Amino acid sequence: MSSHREAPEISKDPVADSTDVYAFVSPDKPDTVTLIANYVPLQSPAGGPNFYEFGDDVLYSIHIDNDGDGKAEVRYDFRFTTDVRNPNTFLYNTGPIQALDSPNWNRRQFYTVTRLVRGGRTQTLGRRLPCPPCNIGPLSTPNYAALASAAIRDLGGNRRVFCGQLAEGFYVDLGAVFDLLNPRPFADLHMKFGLPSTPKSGPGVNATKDLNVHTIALQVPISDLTRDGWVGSNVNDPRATIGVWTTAGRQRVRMFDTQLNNTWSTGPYRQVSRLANPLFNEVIVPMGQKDFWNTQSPDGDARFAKFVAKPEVAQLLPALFPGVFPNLDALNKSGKERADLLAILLTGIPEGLIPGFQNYTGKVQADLMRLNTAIKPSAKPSIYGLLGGDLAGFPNGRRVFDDVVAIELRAVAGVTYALVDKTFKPDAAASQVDDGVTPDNLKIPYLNRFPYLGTPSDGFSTPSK
Amino acid sequence: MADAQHLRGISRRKAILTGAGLVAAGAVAGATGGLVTTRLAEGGSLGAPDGNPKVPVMVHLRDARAGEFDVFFGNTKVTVVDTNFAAKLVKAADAADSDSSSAEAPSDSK
Repeated sequence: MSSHREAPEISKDPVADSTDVYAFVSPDKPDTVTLIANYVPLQSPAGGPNFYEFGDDVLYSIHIDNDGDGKAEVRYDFRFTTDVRNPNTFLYNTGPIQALDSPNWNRRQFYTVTRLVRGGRTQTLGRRLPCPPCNIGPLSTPNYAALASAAIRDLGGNRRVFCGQLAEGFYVDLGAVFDLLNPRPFADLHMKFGLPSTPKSGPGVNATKDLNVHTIALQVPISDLTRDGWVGSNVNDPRATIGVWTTAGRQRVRMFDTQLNNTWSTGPYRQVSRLANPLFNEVIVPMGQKDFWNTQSPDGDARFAKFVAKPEVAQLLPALFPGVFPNLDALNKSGKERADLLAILLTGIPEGLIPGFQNYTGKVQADLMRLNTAIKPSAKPSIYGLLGGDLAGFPNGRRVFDDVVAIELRAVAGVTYALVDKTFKPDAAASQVDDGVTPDNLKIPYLNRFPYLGTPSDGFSTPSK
Repeated sequence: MADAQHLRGISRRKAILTGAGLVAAGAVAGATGGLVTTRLAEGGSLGAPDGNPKVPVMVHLRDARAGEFDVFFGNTKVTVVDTNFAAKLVKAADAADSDSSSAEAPSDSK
């Protein structure tokens, strides 16, 4: 998945496991940027009685690099605390939860959000801000949308925040992708390893359709994020582009205390999870380095550039789909580095390759979600982002509806290589390869307002028929 | 409760001598953390953060030969060197190791 369970160690620590990062100029408030970091993957809505929540012992952060060094100039930290009203019941709630301060809600979570500026002051933007409950069902959370709406908190100065459960917005056919890269629409073309009875081609299946996720969403003025507080319309101004990523950290020591019958943590935080571009650690970094990658800062990503330059998926496509990707196969065999992918993922796309666009941040190779804030939201967005001619979409930041699986598959298949080598002709299939899933395969629609991801599925009626 | 009983579960003296095992070191710290905390406080170099005596302090014997301890508290780590104390811990662990015929078994030290 985008980054759900993408590395061996973090797959065992879901509350610290980042799943997706989104960064986009807010379509309904274009003087702001919305930053979203999702955690706690693959939530089955009925997963009680201990429903999903953030980790009180995890430090969640959203980082902004605004000078191209791969290091954060601005950072937002989120720390959570859980209050239990009545420890003498097993119930999450003892009656309907109709307000965030409902006495029926037994296990509530609150958070503090802090803004840190490199070399500057630390500012607490909000304390003891409430998360909404999980969406349990019509008796427990009869008007969930109202609860979620009440949990959107105004931080002042055109800033707002939301932390809590929402519907998973990342759509993907996991079953097909992980069954030896066999997108259902292309199944008839797969070499199938000589196995006689294998599925025929068909439409994709959205594996995340019924699932929820925990979202940290922050909307702030563009000037809060850019170098020198720059705001403007000159796309080529180097101050226009910011780099975004999220991390989760845990304290270095955790003690299982047999006298207190609980655990406690102490010491400095160590980064255990990191995410910017979708699928970077998941399908580009090899298994033996995934856990290490999760502990590293983006400014050291040059050490992973070789995996971008010759990505494993690009090698697999011609092998798994014989005769379908001959030009990609030739490119692979030429030994040339994938300069297109190195730019898209590690430095940003320089001026001159795509008319009216750049999100280049300099020579430092760093996996960042690069957003050119001078590009205004699209009136007619394409889920294929830049590949669909929509300059406001991935990989210029990422909106909740962008089809990052298709975009990245097509880029790796060679579509974007023509940007850096005009003599290269992408295979016909390269611009069509897809897992066959789109936002039409979602059960819960996106919101057209903050926090943009939909109301989570409730446990009573999920899975739906 | 004797240190040897606390240290039941530490598998090999070698692990401590090399300072390679966090699990082993954690068990040592669990047994003797109070002592180390007292010594640090008496030394005046490191009181409990915010003056709160309840803040947990965790000590990891990272390098037994050099007597180097990592001391974790709050959001901080400091390094303390005490070769004599390290030697005492190694000795206690060695005693525990020889005292137990089932050191690998999960143990509740209560």
